[in-house]
Amino acid sequence: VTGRARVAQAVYLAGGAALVASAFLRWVRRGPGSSLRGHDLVDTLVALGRDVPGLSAARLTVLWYLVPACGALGWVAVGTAGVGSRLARGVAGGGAVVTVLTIVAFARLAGVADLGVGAAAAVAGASAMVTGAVAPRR
Amino acid sequence: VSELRDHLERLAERGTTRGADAVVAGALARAGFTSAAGDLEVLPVALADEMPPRERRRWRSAFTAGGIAALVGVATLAVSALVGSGGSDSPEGAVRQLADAISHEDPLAAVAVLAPDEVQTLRDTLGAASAKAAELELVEAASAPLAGLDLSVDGLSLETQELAPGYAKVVVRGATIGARVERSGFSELVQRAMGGDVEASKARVDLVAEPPFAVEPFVVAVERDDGWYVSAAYTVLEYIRVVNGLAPAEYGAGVASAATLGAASPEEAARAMLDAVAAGDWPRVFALLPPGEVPLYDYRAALDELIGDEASPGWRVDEFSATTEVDGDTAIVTAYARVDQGEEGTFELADDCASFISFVFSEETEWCVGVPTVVPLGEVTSSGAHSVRVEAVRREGRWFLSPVGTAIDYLDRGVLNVDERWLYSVLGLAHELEPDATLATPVDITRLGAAVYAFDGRAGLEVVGRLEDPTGTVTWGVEPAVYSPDGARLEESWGVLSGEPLRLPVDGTYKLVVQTLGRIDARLTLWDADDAPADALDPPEWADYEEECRVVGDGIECSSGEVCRVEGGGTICEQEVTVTPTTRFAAGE
Repeated sequence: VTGRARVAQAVYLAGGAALVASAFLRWVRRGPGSSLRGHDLVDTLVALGRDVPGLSAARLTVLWYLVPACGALGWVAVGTAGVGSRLARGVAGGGAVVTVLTIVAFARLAGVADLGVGAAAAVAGASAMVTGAVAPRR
Repeated sequence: VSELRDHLERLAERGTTRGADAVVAGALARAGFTSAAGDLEVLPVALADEMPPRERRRWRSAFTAGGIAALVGVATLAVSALVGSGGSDSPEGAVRQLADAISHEDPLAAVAVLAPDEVQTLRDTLGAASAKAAELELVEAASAPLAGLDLSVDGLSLETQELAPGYAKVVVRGATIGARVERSGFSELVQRAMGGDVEASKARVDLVAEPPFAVEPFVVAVERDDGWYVSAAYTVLEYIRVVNGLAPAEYGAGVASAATLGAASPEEAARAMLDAVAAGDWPRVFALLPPGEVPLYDYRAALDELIGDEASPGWRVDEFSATTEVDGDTAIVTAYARVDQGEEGTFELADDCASFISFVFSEETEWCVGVPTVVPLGEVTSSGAHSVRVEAVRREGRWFLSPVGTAIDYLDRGVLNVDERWLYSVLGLAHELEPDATLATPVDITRLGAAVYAFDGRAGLEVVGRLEDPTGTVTWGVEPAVYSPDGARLEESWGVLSGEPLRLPVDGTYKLVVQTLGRIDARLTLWDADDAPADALDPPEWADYEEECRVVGDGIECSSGEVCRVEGGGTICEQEVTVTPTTRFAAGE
């Protein structure tokens, strides 16, 4: 493993950790839902009358839990197939798509200005995973 | 074999210890390997890995294990969130969650940690109210309904004392509650209603140094199926018990005895409740309330001690009828009752004036309790009496009347009916509404809340008006206000519909806002005072309040509770005076 590959692996793993950590951080900075996570958070925001076309509360909840799940899967991918593997790249790409969808949904539910540190961690994590997955091939 | 070993040992002792790269490079150099043409590049040997294979596998295994552990953790989190509905692992945890929700100005999270029976569907109601508030621009965003208000709970130190299995008193050993109001954080509408006086204010209370009711502060937590919750009802009742030094409660007795309490049907529960209230049979009243929601049954000994022998109204229920709509373990009882109060006459329990409950006395007076401007229940047709709606719930096969369910039902209807007109009336901004009509001729007012009319006036003109219904001039519960063309309220306009002519300061279009406490069905007329009938200039009987006011120091204190002071030749009151004709008072009079 070259030094470059080692850095890529570290970045990828850090991104995965950030995605997992986002589940324990605040996704809404203030007001209703700011002290909640996951199912309770989605229920609260939906109770305020906001919605996302095509995404029911149940689907939004699943989407939210997929974000940390992608982070955890990233670690498994690196462990089993390596950071430059097709599996790791696929997980990174899937995590990025899931994160973008979740962020867009929550921005609509709570407002962009009210997105909390959990959302920021998810964005940073997904970006890091994609960077880590692509770097060894360049 | 020994010869081979000797060769190898000699080989190992030769030269110095080197890495694989150095050995290969050295071998190539010593071999003097060059191409015949001298232009061939020497390719380095590609080594598989610098890291020893065993170490690499160990790290990878660690990543895999960590990833699987995280995956299991996330899955567990998801499943527990979807299966469980809330609560905390401990009484202290529940109180800390509540403090956290308060610190984040998150009413929905606060409701989520309160005992489910006590809040029922309040979470949905609050959500709907937040959404409605945003729709009416009362708040900037439904996601931040308390923007402008910054609450904090700091230095929280708690200690748990068990009251009974599943019931705990969480004593607050340290906590500071802070509140800060920032004018700029409120919506533009609220800022207009606040006026220009308040910019920001803040307050902090040390709960231990300044305990409420002079007892050590505490919160009662209860354990339900899926965890510990804060119980508002038990906390209030426990405070009443402790502050008054009453008998201990039998925690959980009501829930345990639910099968023997309540009534067999929702109608029977409603009738039994009315009979029990009429007879002053308070233990029966306690037994008809859901024990998990309002645990009065647990505190019956303490409350019996508190009530003593008093408070027995001695009424008799003359008429009672009810219809019920049952939906699972919930029922809506629509009831009508006529109650004989003995010498005090009778009253009807009905909803015929669009208010929460109306008391119609048989003689000639009708009282409406529950002001529709506070809870706008919508327009109700004036034909016939509307019965009162009460929610009943089934617990352990028995029916109980649910105060929380009933209140939430009224709140839900109220939230549904809130509109811009109601909101502006409550905020004192009714004059900003488009006028309902122009007051060129008498107009009929048949509405709840504020009615707004425009009229043209000129400087120096005196106007006076009257509001009449079939019973005569309406003055009680009516608050008129006239706004000048520039939007300023004319302070002397309070009496314009009760015989006190108002002099207009400038030419232009004025607005007359008539705010009423209940539903009104009357005719409004506004005259040039010179053309008004003589009786329109007679002050109503209630205006004669001289004997109810007295001079105190430099000011005048009236029975209404208002404190006024003499300034600049007139009398100025700290709050709006509704019953005191201020121009009749002067210091020393």
